[in-house]
Amino acid sequence: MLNILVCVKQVPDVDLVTMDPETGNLVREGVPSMLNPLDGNALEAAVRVKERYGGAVTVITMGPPAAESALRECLAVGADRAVLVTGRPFGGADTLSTSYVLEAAARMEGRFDLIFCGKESLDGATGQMGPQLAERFGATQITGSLLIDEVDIERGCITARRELEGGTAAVEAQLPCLLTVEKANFPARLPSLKGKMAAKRAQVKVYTENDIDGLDPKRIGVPGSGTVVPEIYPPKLPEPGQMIDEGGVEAGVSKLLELLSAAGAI
Amino acid sequence: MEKAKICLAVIDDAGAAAPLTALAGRLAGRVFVAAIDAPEAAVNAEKAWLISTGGAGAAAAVGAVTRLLEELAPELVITGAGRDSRMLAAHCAAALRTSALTDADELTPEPGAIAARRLVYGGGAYKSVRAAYPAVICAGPSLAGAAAEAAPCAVLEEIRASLPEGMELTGRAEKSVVKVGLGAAKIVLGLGRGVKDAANVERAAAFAARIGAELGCTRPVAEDEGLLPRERYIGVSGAVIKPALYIAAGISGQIQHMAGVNSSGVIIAINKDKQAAIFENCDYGVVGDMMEVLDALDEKLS
Repeated sequence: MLNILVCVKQVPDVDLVTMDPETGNLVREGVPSMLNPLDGNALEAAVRVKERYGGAVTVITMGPPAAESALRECLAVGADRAVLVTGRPFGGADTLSTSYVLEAAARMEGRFDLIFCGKESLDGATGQMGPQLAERFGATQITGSLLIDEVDIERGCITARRELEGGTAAVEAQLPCLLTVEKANFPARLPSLKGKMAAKRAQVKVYTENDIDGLDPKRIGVPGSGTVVPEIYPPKLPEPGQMIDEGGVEAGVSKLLELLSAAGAI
Repeated sequence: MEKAKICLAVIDDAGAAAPLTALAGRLAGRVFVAAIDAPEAAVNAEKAWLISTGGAGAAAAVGAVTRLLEELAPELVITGAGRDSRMLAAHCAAALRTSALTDADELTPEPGAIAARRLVYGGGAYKSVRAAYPAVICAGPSLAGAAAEAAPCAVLEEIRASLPEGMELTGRAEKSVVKVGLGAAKIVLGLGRGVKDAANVERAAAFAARIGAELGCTRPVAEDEGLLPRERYIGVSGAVIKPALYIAAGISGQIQHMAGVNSSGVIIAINKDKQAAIFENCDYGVVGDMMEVLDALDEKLS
């Protein structure tokens, strides 16, 4: 039986995050949070493997207590177990300390044959978590997975197609293997009513900094991070310019002619 | 400015070699290059290792790059902006026990550390991130696509790399890659959802060719509608452009797109919706149907 882990993140709907023009602070209040969409694709890939070969899918996330709702979204579409790692000391973590904590917490849940990650998160978009976790787990790694061809449980290996800059490659990798998943072939399924009901009732296991064996407090949260973020500020956008809304297409065309000639195009 | 002692540029895309090695030279006293399946990347450095993976791709080079990190003990590592470059950056960061500064579009060296600026929240904000040496910079498209001189490297060493133990390449299919010169274009015509269909895209492309403009588009046009290849998509996580003239046609002006064009010299927007957000962020706004305007212009020019 395959033991499958999916690492997910709850993210704000970035389209709705705004910046307070006075303070320069991000206004996240009232902005809905959701399961990182690309993690939904990773979960879909994991659930398909489970459906084909049997096994159990565990989803894990590190975040504030409210991140539990992202885990329940996963439970509604095929995850069997959910683990929330939460606590103030974990806050402010970058990919270095987040990967450390996720691996340590996952170890509490046993050994995993397959680990799935989304390509990147909507908010941070660093794309670093998959490869960093592969190093932590000592797993083989297939980034940019387009298709999963086969899992050979007897031989303990997986074959998948991965995207290259100039084509695709078929790769066979021994388990444990970490896969990051491309979105195109793994559209997230919609939860059934039954799935939603079950997800509501399901138990989410919670680990705080005190519950994880061997956790080094110097390697978590801000102290455990390799990077610091001194500031976040709004980008400068061009100022509103001159509107050419009288004279219709004709006026627009002559302005374009003028600019094209200034740019040396005509 | 106090320079870092040693920088290793890890390059898997020949196009990014000149700008990133030149950048490495500004940031560090000694520059070395790990050129992965890209012998042309052996430039602007005192020594380059030509790593060939035999078609297995950048994943096969991780071991060789990690050994170079042990040998050189660089204070700085710079990688490109592509998908495999980001993977390489993550492995370098793991080996050096740090986190990579990804999508960096502006770098500020500090004593014993480096700060990078990047866009976050889909273009809604800039974040400055600082890392102490040893640090890993994963360049954003504006750094990786900048113009730079390239002096060939005199000292070369070849390395044959293969996938790590437990992994094997069992097949490979090539795909033609579209080379798009958006980063260096003087004039860019950007198409938004207003272009509607493939026939209109073709007309707009013919017009772009006539005025010597490179064709670009918004993310939905490339990814949702599939009207143009992904290589032509401009914006956060796509191409970042700085032409003298940017013509935004049928583009609503979402911040994700504008973040990729706001260094343009002059921006002129054509949109039939007078309320479109792009009219807040352009130099000239033309209210009208984009195809009507482009066709009328085309007629004037012929």
